[in-house]
This record gives sequence, C-alpha cells and structure tokens, in this order.
Amino acid sequence: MDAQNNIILSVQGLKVHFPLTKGIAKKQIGYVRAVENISFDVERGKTVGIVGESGCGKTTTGKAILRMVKATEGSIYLNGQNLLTMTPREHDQIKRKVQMIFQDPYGSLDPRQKASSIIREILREDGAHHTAKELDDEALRLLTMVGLSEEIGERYPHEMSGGQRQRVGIARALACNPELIICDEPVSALDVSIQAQIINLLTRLQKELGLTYLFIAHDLAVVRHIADTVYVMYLGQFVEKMSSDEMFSSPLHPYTKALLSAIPVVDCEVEKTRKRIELSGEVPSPINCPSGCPFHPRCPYATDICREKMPDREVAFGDHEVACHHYKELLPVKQP
Amino acid sequence: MTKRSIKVQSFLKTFFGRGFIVYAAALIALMFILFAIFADVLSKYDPNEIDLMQSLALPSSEHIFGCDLHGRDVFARILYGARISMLISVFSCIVGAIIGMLLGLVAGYREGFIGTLIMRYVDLQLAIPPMLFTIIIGMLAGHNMFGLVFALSFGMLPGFIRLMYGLVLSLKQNDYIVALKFARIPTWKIILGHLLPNAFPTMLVTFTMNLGSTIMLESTLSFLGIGIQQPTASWGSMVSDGYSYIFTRPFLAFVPGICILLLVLSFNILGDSLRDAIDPRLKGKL
Repeated sequence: MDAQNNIILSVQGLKVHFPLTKGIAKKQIGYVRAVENISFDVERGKTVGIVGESGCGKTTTGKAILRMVKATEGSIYLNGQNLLTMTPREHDQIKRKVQMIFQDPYGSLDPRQKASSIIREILREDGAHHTAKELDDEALRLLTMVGLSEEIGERYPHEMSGGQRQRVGIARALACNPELIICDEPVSALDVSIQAQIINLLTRLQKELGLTYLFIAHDLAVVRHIADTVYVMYLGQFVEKMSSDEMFSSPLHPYTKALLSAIPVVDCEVEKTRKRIELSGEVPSPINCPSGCPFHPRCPYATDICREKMPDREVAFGDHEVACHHYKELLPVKQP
Repeated sequence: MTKRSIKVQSFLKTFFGRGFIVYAAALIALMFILFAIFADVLSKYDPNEIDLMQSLALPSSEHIFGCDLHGRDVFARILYGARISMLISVFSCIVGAIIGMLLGLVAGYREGFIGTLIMRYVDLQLAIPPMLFTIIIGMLAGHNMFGLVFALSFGMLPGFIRLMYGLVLSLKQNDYIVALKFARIPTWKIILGHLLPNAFPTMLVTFTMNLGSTIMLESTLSFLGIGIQQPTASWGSMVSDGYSYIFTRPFLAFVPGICILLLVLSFNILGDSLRDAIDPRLKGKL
C-alpha cells in the first residue's frame, strides 16, 4: 500500500468561522475565526496530536470532522470521500467510522444506564441482527478489552470512578468498530496516575485493533507519549508540525518553545537557573485576529515583517514544518 | 429469586424509603380512591337529596359531618365529590402533561421553525391571564366533564411545555446524547430512551404540584358556572359554597378543604417517592 492510500483522514484548508450577530435583525458584525485555514493528514494506524492553549480551535477542528459544526471552507476527506460535500443521508452511512472520546467522563454517560447497557445499545444499531446473547457476549468482550470486569458492567455511572467511566466511554467508541477515533482531551479530567493507565490503554488498543487517533490535548507530556506527529495550534492556525520527539528536542517556533518552557522542571537546581520564555499578554481574540503572523503581538522576536506578512508553513528539515519568518535565525539555540 | 422480583423489591424499598410518611400518604390516597369507587355503598344518603328540615344541621350520629344549607349530607357529598374532583384533576393533569411534554420535546429537540412556532404560541397563551383563558376554553368546550378536563389541561399546557423545552435544551447538549448520534441511534430512540427518562423526575414533581392547583381551579370554574353544574358535588364547589358559613358552620368548608389538603399532600409525597424510586443514583440510599 502506498502512502497515498494509507491516509485515512485528510483535512485541506479547513476554515470554521462563527458569525457574530447583533440585535434583533441578526445583523452580522463579524466572525469568530475559530479555525483558520488548517491542513493535515492522518495516516492509518498512527496518532496525530493537536496541542494548543484553550480557545485555539483544537476542539472545533474535531467537531468539524464530525460535522457537529459547519465548516466554512475547505474539505475533509475520510478514505478519499469528502465529508463536507456529502448529503446528511450519505454522511449517516459512514458516521460510525469516526467516533469520539469525550473530555468529561461524568457528562458522557447516561446516568440512568448501566455500563453494559450503554455498550449494548450501540452494538444493536450496527445494521445486522443480533440475539440478546450475542449482544451480551460482545458487550462483555468490549468491556474486558478496556480492562473492566463483568461486575462493573452492571454498575451505573455514578457507581464508577472517573477512570472506569472513561474506559466505558472508550468501549462505547469501540462498539461502533471505528477506523478513526477523535480523542478530545480524554485524560485532562483525570488524575495523573489514571491518566497514565488510560494512555497505555489507548496505545494498547491501537496496536491490537490498528486504530487511528486524532488526539487533542493541551498537555504536552501526554501528547509526546502517545502521538507520532504533533501539530501546535495557535489562534486557529498550525504554527508548527513535527514528530513528537522533536517537539521536546528541537522546537523551532517561538510559541512551541514558550509552551515547553512553561513545563516546570522537577530538579529544583535546574529550575532555579534555567531561563524561561515568558509570554506577555493574552491570546488575541479570534474576532480581531492580528495582521501578519498571529503570534507577533506576544512574540519576543517579532519584527516588521511579522506584523505585515503571514508566514507560510515551510519545511525546516525532514518532516518538520514551521510557520515563522525567523526560525532560521533562531535555530542555534545552544544553551551555554 | 428472579431478576424481576429483585428489581421490584429494590423499587419498593426506595419507594417507601422515607418511612412512615410514605405509608401514611399511600394509605390516605388509597382511602380516597376507595371512597370514590364505593361511594354508593359507603353512604346511606343521596348526595343531592334535599331535606330542608336538616338545613345546616350540626354533625351528629345521623350525619357525621352535618348538612349544608339545603340539608344535603356532607359526608355523602364528600364521597361522591371525591369521584369528580380526583377524576378531573388527575385526568386533566395527565392530558396536560402528556401534550405539554410532547410539544416541549419537539420544540426543544428541533428548535428551528417548529420550535419557534410552539414557543411563540406559549408566549401568546401566557400573555392571557390563565384563569380567563381557561374560562373561555371551558365555555367553548361545553358544560360537561370532558369540556372541563379539556379546558383545565389546555390551561396548564404552557407550564409543561416551557419546563420540558428547557430540560430538553440542556439535556441534548450532554455528551452522551452526542455520542448516541455518532453511533447512528435513531432519533426516536434517543428521545424515548434518554431524553424522556432524564427529564421525567422534574416533570413528575411539576405534575403532582399541578394536581392540587387543578382541584382548586376546578372549584373556581364550578363556582363561576363553567364545568361541573350544581347540584353535582365536587370538593372545590363544596368549599366555595361552605365558606359563607365559616363562622357559624365551619365544618362545611373545612371538611372538603381538609380532604383537598390531604389528597394533594399525599399525591405530592407519593410523587416524590416515585421520583426517588426510579432514580438509580438513590438506590439503597434511602
């Protein structure tokens, strides 16, 4: 299989703008540019991570792929089929191939349904006829696969811990037999030890079932662990693309560097002496995007060209792409 | 023990979990229901038989709650009135709740044009004083029990629609509803299997609260000459007839008044218990 066929999801020039209206006549006074012209490919069996601050458009990207929000421009190809030009009926046919794991394990399960019943309900709708026994067995198999026992299947959501609920959420996504799973910050509501378990579970499932993940997160350490390729998002745009190892070893974009330097170092001696890149100011509003490079108002290296011209995404080396006018000048960042 | 009998057992355990008060409420409700069914057997008087010799008679061994202005036995009228009052209030609340929930569900789930239409209609009806509205509908619908039930249930629609609308609006945002949509679960299954059960507890409480006000509203309508006509007994009309003698013959208004109070109270308690019993989160906690 060549590389082209191996691409399961391809997003081209995706834009999501939310119109801002005012008054009773719904006069349009502007846009919220939630996602501004992003493109990326997801290879089958790989994990693509999207990281960024709150409000940078990560979740909106995921929702656009699921057609929960309407994309303004661009195209999204799933196995070569454009999702955005499909009729609702056509889209309905392939819906189950893309599933989502939600951030909030409390709100993502019906409080009146037992875990096994949640799974069975999803299994029942796969188009084939099942006997009750088959459904029970399959639900149990899925629960076991995500590390839950039969006894937990008989529990209601309020009787489970956060980690167990998230496992049920994963089993529910698997019940659709998906090709692509969008993980929308699946571990950020859990505590650290449980985070690791869920990440390991996701990695194991990927190996066993050949799943593809689009992993949306704000925790760089988590993304490094699970993702193959990482996109750094800022104000609705991708500012850098790299492999997850390069993210920590050789970040190029000033924003990525700032994000990384915000992670505290455990060694207190190093922590005292290391130089942190502190960003001043707030993320600009996506309603009034700054001209030129979206990052220039906060960038310590900004010059005139940054204020005027939007940088293109260029290949720095290998798979590493960056959208910055000055990345070459900033390259030799050897710490003395 | 079978799975079903365990389920029934745990349901009953939570239902009566509040203890004495629920047993008392169940007993009172049962008593009134039996009154209504066996009114003919329990009373030796015709509720509409006028005996002017007994006008405003005090309670005695012959007439345990005395007699009203026309010498009709109050106890007999309470028994027969239980029929009318319970039938009308329960029926009109059920009809109002079902139609209101349905419209609210549609309006909340499919906002858009249909939703706006329903909600603007609700605003329209709310702009008319509810009493006036019910009177007009009652007059149009005719002077019988069905007309009355129709008018009363129509009058309480906006409350149910708005509550259901709000509930559905918030419930459908939940991730578990979104996940069901991704899995191609048909809309009717989402509505019947998830939205309705999760909205039900709140609706149940509103339902039992409406029961009480409906009994009173029915009496007002009867008083105004719409709905149940004299001499048919209903608790509401007995209260409004009796309150002119509140100082000389207090039992005329108090006896039906206390009946209304007890019935409404017991329905409210039973409604709360039912809500708790169907909530899996409270299983074994009460």
